[in-house]
Amino acid sequence: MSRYTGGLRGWVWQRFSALYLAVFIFSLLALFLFTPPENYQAWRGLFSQTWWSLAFLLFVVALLVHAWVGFRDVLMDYVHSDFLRLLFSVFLLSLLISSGGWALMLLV
Amino acid sequence: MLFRIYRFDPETEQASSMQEFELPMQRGMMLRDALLLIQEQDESLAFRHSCGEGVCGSDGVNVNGSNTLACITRVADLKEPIEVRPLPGRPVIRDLVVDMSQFYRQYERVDPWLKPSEPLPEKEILQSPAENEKLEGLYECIMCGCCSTACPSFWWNPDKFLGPQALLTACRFLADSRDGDKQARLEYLDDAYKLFRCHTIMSCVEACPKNLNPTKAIGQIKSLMLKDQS
Repeated sequence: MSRYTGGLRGWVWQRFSALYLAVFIFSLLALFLFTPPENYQAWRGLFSQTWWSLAFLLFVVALLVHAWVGFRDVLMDYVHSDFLRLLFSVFLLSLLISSGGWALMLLV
Repeated sequence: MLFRIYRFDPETEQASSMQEFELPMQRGMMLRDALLLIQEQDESLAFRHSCGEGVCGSDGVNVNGSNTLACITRVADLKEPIEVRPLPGRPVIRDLVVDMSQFYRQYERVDPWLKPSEPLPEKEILQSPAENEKLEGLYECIMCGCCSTACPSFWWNPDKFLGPQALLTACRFLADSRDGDKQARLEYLDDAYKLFRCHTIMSCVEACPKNLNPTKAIGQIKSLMLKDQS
């Protein structure tokens, strides 16, 4: 990214992540609709394919990024005390990072 | 017709109240005319007005929940009882008169004047009709404040978020072929608050009595930022 760092970067990240989330979710829906995995093993089997794992990993990252920008927006709108905003930010960021870590644990 | 008018004098009263007035319906009566007649009944009622034809932008008020200019709002189109309140989110000076200082400060922050990059020519700087067309929908703002005071993002952060009016003005100068300071203008707007607190709620578009579209202008600024960095 260039010199634009403050507002534009978050805005762009939110839009790009939303785009990927939409593509992934609709693809997933299409998969379940047209070639649904027959059982749990078949569903797990999907994750043994590298492309699927990568696509899922990217989905998790996009979800975390999207959620973070959204949370940050809500905090900036409503929480006007710098200290409280920092406190909520740290809490939400830890929640998101641990959720990401959990998703990663499920993948490997 | 029944009117319920917001009354408050912060210097002498603890809380605001709504006062009822009854007026006979007159053909073609505008809300400003009604307020003037109400003022004849109770001359202590304070409200701003001037040109009476939607040009000066003085008589912005909140009528039945929507911001509008009293002078171009037909009373016949309003549902009774007609509730008239001051523009929301601004400190009340008295009755329908609010303190718009912060709104003007945000306007000032976007440097609302042309900054040519070259020395000024002896005569005017010429524009092609196509260049001039780009200012359509941007220059007509009369600064009544109906948009910014209808914007929830402006209610939440009126000191940091510039608000739809100032951003429309910022776009007006960014779109002007005669301005030579576009990059600095864009960089100035790029922080988490000034521009990006806009969540495309579009209350500004609904409120604008001149039918302008600040949301579209904000979108244009974002596009310009994207183009500028790529």
